Amino acid sequence: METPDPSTGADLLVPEDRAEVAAAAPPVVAVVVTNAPGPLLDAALASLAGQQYPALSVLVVDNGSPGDPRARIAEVAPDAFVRRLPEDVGFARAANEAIAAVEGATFLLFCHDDVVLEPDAVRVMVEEAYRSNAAIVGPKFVDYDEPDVLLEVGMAVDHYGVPYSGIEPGEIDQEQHDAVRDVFYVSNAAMLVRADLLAELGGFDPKTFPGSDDLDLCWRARLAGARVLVAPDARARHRKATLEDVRPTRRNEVGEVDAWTRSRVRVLVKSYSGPALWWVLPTAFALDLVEALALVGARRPGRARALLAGWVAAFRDLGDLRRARAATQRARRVADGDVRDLMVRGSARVRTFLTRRLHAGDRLAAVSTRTRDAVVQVGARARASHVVIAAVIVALIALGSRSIVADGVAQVGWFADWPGASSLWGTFLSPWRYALVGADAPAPPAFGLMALLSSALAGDSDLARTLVVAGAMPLGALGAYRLARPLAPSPTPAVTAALAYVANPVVRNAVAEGLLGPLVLFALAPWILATLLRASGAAGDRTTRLHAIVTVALLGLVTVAAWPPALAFAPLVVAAFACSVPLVRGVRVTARAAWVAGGATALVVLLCAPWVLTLPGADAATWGLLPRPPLSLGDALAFRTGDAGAGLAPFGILVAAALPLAVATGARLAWAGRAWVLAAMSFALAWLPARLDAGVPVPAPEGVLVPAALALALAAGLGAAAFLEELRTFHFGWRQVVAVVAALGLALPVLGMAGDAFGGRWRMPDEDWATEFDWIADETPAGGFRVLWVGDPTILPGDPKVAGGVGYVLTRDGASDGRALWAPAENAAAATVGRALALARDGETSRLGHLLAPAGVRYVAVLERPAPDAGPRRPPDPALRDALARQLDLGVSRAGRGATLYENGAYAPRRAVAPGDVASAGADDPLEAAARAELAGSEPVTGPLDGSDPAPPGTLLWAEAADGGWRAAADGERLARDDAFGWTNGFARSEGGRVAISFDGGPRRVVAYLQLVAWAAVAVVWWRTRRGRAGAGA
Amino acid sequence: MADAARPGGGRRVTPAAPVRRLPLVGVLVLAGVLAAVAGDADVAGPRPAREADPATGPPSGSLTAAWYCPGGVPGAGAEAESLRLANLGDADARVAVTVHPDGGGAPVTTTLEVAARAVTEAARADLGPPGGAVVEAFTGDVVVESALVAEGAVTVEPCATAPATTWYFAAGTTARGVGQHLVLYNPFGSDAKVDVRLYTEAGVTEPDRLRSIDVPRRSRVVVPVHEIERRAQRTAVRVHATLGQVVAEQTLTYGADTGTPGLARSAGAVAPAGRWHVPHATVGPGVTTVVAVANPNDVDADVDVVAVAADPDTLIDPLSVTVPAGRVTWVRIGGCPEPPAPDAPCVPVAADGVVALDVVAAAADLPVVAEHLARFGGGRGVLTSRAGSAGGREWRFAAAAVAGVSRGSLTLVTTGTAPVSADVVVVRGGEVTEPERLAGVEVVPGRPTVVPLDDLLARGTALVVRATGDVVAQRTLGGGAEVTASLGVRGARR
Repeated sequence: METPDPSTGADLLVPEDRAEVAAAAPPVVAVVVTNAPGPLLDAALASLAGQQYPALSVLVVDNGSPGDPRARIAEVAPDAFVRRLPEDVGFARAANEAIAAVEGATFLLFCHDDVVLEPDAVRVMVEEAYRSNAAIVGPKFVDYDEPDVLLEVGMAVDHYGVPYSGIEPGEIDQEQHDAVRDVFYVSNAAMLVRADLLAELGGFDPKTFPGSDDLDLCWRARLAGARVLVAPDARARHRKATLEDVRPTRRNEVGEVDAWTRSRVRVLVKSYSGPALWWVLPTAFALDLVEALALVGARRPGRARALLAGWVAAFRDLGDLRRARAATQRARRVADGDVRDLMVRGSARVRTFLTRRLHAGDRLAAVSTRTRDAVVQVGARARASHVVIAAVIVALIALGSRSIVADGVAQVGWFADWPGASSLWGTFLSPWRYALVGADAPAPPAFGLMALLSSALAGDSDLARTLVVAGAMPLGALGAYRLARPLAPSPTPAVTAALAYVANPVVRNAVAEGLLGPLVLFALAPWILATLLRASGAAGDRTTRLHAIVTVALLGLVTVAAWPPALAFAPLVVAAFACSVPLVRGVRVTARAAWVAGGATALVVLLCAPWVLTLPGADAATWGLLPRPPLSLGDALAFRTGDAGAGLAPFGILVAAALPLAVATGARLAWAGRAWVLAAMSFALAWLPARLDAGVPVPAPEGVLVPAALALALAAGLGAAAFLEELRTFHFGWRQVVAVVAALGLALPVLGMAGDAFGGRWRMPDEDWATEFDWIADETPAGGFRVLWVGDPTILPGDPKVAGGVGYVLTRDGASDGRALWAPAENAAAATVGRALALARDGETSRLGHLLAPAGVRYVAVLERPAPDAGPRRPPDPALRDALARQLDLGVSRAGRGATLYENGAYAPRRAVAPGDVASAGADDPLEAAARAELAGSEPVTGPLDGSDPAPPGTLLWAEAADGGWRAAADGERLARDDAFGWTNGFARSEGGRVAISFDGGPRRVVAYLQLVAWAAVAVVWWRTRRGRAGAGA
Repeated sequence: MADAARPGGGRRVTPAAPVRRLPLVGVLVLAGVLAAVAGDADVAGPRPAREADPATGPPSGSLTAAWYCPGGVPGAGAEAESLRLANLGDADARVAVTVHPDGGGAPVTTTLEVAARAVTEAARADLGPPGGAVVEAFTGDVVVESALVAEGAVTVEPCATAPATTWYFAAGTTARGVGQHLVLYNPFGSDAKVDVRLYTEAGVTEPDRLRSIDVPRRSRVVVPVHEIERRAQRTAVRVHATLGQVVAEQTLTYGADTGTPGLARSAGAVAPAGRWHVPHATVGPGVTTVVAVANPNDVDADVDVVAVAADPDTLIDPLSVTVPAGRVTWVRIGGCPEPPAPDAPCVPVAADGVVALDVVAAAADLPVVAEHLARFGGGRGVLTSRAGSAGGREWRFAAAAVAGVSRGSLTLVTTGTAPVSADVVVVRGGEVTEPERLAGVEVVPGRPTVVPLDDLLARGTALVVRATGDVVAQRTLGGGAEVTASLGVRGARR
């Protein structure tokens, strides 16, 4: 074996005289870097020479010392090799000389020239390296002069590369840190490194010296999958703590601050993954900026400048930095998350300040423990707080609904009066739809459901209506409770979800504006979602699935009957699950939910048939889509669709719902993700269509945002569950703070709800136009009449149609009642009314009254507000408003409180005998014929429809949409029917007498009965599968 | 990591792999950021109401078109009123004339048939008792004018096509011997209430008798201004309906003791404007032509009165006038006294003939109202004519002439800066003709183009002017002791 000349620093091989012993132990080369060595060099070398470890060689790298230290070295360690460098290249570069100079060594032990190792230190470290399969091992450092005082036992860093030792100044070594453990890094004052790893990593990075060269090496080692340990049984005495020695303190030069900052920033850029850098670097810079400002405040501007200059210097050579980073990332084997486990939370600077300046280490630990205990106690109390929360919900709902229950529901929007149960049954079973100007169309299932409910309440339809309106909120809250109940053993998360759901302003706006459909969806959506989620569970037999399908279908029947866009609710939920799969997985969950939702939706269509089959191809208003003011993104996120939800309070729901995203784990986090995706899709549906086209008709945002309200409520419940079940295992930190913020966030919308509750009606007006104009019904002339309501479609009572942006509703004999709701698709007859309005608005007629006369329109009500002196002011089209004032045959009957009522001077009763021959008038253009005809002199026909009072001869006009199904008979003799004015019915009579009018709707009545049978059958299936599901113990 | 129960119930499920928080939060945050960057929809303001212009005809395809004829002043020629109904379309038109009698009473409706491309004349007295009349045509092709031909008086004026809330009449006087009447007609089913304000040389006056004047539904009210504001040499009037809308007309009756007896009737302007055009004003001996400029603003308004002669060799200097706030100023055209009289602005015109007048407000935010008034000496009468504030490419006249008229002309001026070519179409007796001499008439910017109608002065003749650019068209009829001038009915903009 060649023995190199020690003086030349040539390649160092294992010395021959130790070969035998070395063969049994892995060879270690101690690399001592010295520069103008002090008095401790001799002791340091002597300690190395006196090591018990048999296969230890020593290489001293003289880093440009002024004098030749070889003689001195030889005196103490004659076997040591010396390599002299012509100048001081820094510790890192000098240490790297060993990589080239040494061959065959298993480990390299880097040492400073003032570190004295205990005789067994090397042995202990080598043994530990093998035992723990560690690549880098460090000793315990104690004070040179007071060996009982600890200096350093491994090092940690915070996320921004600031070192932290955790040792208090003057801390006595009582073996309290003597466990072998993984540390983030060890100081290169004495660092045992596996030689192959060192070579693979390329040694120390010279540009991270001073300050972070050891940190950099250890971090890179960790990223390569290696372990870094501290072996406290190996002791080293050091003159000063490395923390003070190398890391700049107040006593160090300003230039070292610059260099150290540069090194630290370089390490951060090299070591973090790309995504992490996006937040680490800005945050690190921000912290340094704060420190710089503090230094300026402390009259140390030089250090402040140096601190910031270090940042600039770090990025001066971007090419080199990029290359260094690339090399580090290439060697990466583990993710940042695995490395971060050994980082300290928060700021190491603050911690160091507290532990070193205030000696507050123990106190910090005590505070942390006490806080954690407090959190546990709070959690325990929170688990018992569900009673209080539930009481709050009940109290607020009762308070806010008291006037609705006591004084009744105002007839705003869709809250029209319900006729008696027999009338509702008659409407459901009638082959003719008496809405608008009438249509040969099947009755909506809503009337059957209303009839069922009224019948169940002994025919009290008023009570039924009040129950539906006032009961929606508690039913929705209960549904949200049931949805979230399984989240945790404690009911608290469930009541939290219920509270978040019911405090959402969207339901109060729906009540205030009379939006029956969205209100029903609000009440039943949680039940639908709960059923869907239950059915998407891992196990479920056929009975369970069938029960779920039937349940969702029955609930869907009610919601779709009330509001056709609700048909999209279950598919939307499934779509949200599907979109969240890439983020939270759960393909099977989604597939099962899709199966149930698909089956249920198909069944809903069947149950709502034949009415639902008339919807495709119908005008947008039939679907509930109306031109509405665009909802801004902010308003959508705050659920601010009306007066409720003003201010920033509703954003508290978002804050509360964000909690599980921050603190939940596992399945809770997954469900929170699904909930948020559902909410995002709901927000998008409410905001995006108008964003793309401001004039496009859209459904009521109160209904579109129900999925978002429910999803966020569920998320809030998940957050509460995570707080109770998971957060207690964490020490006090930002998670607890987030939980407090979330709780405060949820309190805000509750306060808003409380504010709205004082009025007792959730801002619903206590007057309505039906009451304001009830004298119209009192003055019902013989023969019947209609009222044409005109204005912004979002404020009209009932179910409006839209013609040229103008909304209109037709009611019979006054303000009518619920039978005018769910108007059929606009047919040619109804479109004629819209055309007439458009002609008037465009100045192409001054005889609007004449044009409307064949429809029996006696009054035209132009509305500016949804209720007398109440609700938002939404003036109608100014052109139409002015045009109505210029109609020669309309005269103002009443004006004020937000409405103008015109009386039609050309009015003819709905059932009347018209002068002259008008039966065939208007075959080509109904409006032209109506403009010319003078129907004001028509003779009203009174009496029941199926047998009128005696009427004079002439053309009997029946102002329902023209349809061949209308029959008229006089004295048993059928009268010939014609399309009068092109769109209504005229029966020619040459003689006077009684007339019976009827409509032959074919099998429609039978179909309606069959529909009832279908409902009953599905209800039976639901019941039986429910019992089967219970018996199966699902 | 503890298992978490699923919402809604069901079996507890432990995910196969841990859910990564960062991508989930990142996607949600990214979606929010994208939405915030996209911003909200631009919301257009509500569509403004179409300003109904009483001087513009109904759209051609109208189902029904209403014309409002307030009628003459009883005792001031109303008995001699007649209606001219010109059907410019290709199909016969049915017309319903509804008279709302003065003093109440049931409306009287008469149905008339107007043949295609023909003019029907109906004596007002045959249609019902005195009162306002609404002429409803079941087509947009009918034009209605009211003619008043009596001893020493002739006026021909289109009926209004729309009511308005506010009307202005700039040329009025309650000097000795002159009767100034306002006819306020409410043809609708709702009552109206009107305030009348006067702008005189002394300033604004609102006499109590002119406030809150009730104009009941389907009736008219005749207001004798001269009995309320006496001896005001110059008065301008603003009629403002505080409730409902009305149609207003002004009649000036000059008695014999004024030296130039005559009757002038004019429709009002519904709003001040920054520019007014009077296509045809006569300057010459025995003619006193003025343009009355009323300033309804609260500050003084500067206006330029520009007169351009039909004769290109005649150059006329414009005149700048300051009209005090709330007052009316008469600017004489030609015949300026020497030396010039203070407070009597006059545009010196050297040569006799036809001039076109432009009244231009100096400040866009201080619009004024202008009206043309001319008195013809030798008992030839008096006329007032509403100035035009906007041009049009089509102008309609239901009557080319009336009885007793021996002279007539159409005068066209452009409102733009480029020359315009105009065709005058004659509608008579079921035919539409385009005489060669009336085709391609060139209208030079800033200069009146006079088209003589001497060979077209037959009754039952309607005229339609169609131009390649915006013009203002005025018909001037005279002969004997009667003169009258009025703008036509502007065709509706398509």
